[in-house]
Amino acid sequence: MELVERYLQAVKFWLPSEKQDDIIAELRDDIRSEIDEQEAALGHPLEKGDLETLLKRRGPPVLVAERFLPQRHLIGPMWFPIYWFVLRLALAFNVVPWLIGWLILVFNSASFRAAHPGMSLFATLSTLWTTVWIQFAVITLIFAVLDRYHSREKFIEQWSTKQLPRLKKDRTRVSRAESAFNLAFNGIFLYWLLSVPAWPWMAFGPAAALFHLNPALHVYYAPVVLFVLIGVVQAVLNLWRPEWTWLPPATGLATSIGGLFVLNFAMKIYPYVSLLDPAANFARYGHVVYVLNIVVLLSLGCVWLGLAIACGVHAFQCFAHLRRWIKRSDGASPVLPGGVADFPNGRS
Amino acid sequence: MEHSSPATDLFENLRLELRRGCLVLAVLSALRSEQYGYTLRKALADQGMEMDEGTLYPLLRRLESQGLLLSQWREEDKRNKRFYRLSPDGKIILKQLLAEWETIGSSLDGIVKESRHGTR
Repeated sequence: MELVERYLQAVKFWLPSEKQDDIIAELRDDIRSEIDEQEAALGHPLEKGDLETLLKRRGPPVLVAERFLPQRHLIGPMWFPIYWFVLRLALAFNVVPWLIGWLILVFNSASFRAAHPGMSLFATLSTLWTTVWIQFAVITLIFAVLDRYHSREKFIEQWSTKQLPRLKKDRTRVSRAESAFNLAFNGIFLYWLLSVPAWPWMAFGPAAALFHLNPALHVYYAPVVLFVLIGVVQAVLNLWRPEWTWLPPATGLATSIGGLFVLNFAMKIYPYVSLLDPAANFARYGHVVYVLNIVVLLSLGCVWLGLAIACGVHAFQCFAHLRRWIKRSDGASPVLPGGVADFPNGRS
Repeated sequence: MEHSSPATDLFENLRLELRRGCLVLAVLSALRSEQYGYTLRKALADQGMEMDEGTLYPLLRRLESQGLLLSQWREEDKRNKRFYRLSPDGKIILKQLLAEWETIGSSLDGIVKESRHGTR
């Protein structure tokens, strides 16, 4: 019986002190009753091996004790979906700016590139890691407090149909209006780009007689035309095939990455704009050229930032498409109009 | 070593879920007459409702804390045993639960019969 007592002692360790004696006494009686019954059936006392089998069937002491403990949770089922959503949102809001910052450092900081890649990545990752942990702790604390003090009844009482969000737009098709707008915008931009070499006044206006673009930048003209052309082709294809919803994010990602790559080199070619005849006009327009170059530099910086954000957004959209595609090829539920999967999470 | 397939696991989970709702009814019904834990477990098992001790004893404590059961420590066969029986509130709740059980049973019968006709 020593084995039984050792087992009960191990169970007792995990039980709350105010209940442990009572629970252990009842468990002891249950085990002894089972032993009595088995011994009566066998006609002799149980051997050590039989006793071990009997206790093993009852399970590890910690699991036996766990069944007697009240179910505990920090954040209950009422708040958990909102908590989980906020956590993911916070993570996205941390990771995307970090990624943008990291890309800026990689592309623009020579000292960052010169450092050991692993160490520099670790240095920026540790900043992200600390921020994420602090936010995780704060969000968890807020929701734990809400869970304790905001009752389910109050939540149900305060709920109103007016709080329901609007229906999401149909994600199974690219709207033709959107494609038509993109076609018009990209078409006009392409026409403008193709016209600039022949008619510089389209870029500089009347000042075309005084200024010109740095010839070293001309090498980037063809890739930019290509990116805009890709936008035109995408718009035409989506007008023809609106169900190809993967096309805008895919082309968007490709052109954003390409744009970042080109811009990274182009931004280093300073000055961007110079005087056609510096000897004649420098005294009068020298400061104008200087200001113009600063404006172009700032504009390119803004475009770089915009492209980096677009890159992140398109990458996320591509990932979502890929995930849906994998799910569908695995034989998951069909996607209904509006992008809502049939019976999500097994609920109708 | 035997490995269970996902379909078997799913069936087992659904089966346990289905049974879980019936356990309270089975225990309350069985405790219309006073019993201690081990005999209650045997009585339920004899009726085809097997329940391991890890499920039964916490359930008995929960039902007692909810005021549906009364318990008393008494000596029997030279051993202290805890005897359980229905409380007056438990009797009322059991009556209501049995009525609900019959309603669910007849509704489910109708639904199952209908779907069987539909699939033929």
